[in-house]
Amino acid sequence: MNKIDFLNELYYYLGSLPKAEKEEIIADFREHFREGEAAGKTEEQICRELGTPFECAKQYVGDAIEKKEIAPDGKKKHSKTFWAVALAWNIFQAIVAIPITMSLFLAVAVMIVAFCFIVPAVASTAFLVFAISSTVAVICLAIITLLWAVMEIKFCVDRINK
Amino acid sequence: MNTQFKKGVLELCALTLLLEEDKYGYELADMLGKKMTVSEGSVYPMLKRLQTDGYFETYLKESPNGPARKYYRITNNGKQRQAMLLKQWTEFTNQVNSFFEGV
Repeated sequence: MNKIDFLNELYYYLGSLPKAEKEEIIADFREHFREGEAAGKTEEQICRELGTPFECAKQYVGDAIEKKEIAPDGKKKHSKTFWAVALAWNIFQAIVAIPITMSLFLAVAVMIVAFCFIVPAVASTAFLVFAISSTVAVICLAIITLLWAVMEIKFCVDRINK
Repeated sequence: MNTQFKKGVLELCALTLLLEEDKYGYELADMLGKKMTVSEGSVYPMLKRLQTDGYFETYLKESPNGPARKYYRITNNGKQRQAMLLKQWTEFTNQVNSFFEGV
């Protein structure tokens, strides 16, 4: 953890304290970093010696601070279990759900095209063009959803490793 | 160590350190953090609490390098508080130690 992260998180966990008070506290810690750096310490080392921003904030705010479910960046914070489940779901989608759905769509589209050739009466040019273009559309959609699923898998893995 | 207990002892140590001379935050955090198993981050909340309770005053003083530092000065109330805590501490440790005599 570096200085900026530490101070941001501390400010965040100070929560509903008056703004002036929060800024005074941040100024104290900023001074601590400045002196520590002047004494030749790295930001990481200073952070380690300070303890976590949450623990520091708790002593100012008291018990009013509960382990908030919101991360400092304002996004909802999920547990690792959540991301593991999301990961499993995305892998399932990529390997099973998307290929099956897409091949079903593809099969229907191919059948329509084939039907046009078998029964020439229905095979108007417009109909054929529609059938072929929808086949192409289904293939594109399959590629896009698969890429999307892969991106989500990567995102989940990042979250779990964080 | 019990948190409440540690808090009280930490308070006594901070008050005692300031009896000799005024110090700035980093000095206090560094000294207390090195000698006792406390995270340096818990020193600042304590300093603020003691200041609110009227045991310390703060003032800004130029430092030889860089911006001004916030110094802590013990008040008369603080000195009384230190004497009282020290008395309690001595009594308490004497009582505890009496159990170990002759063991």
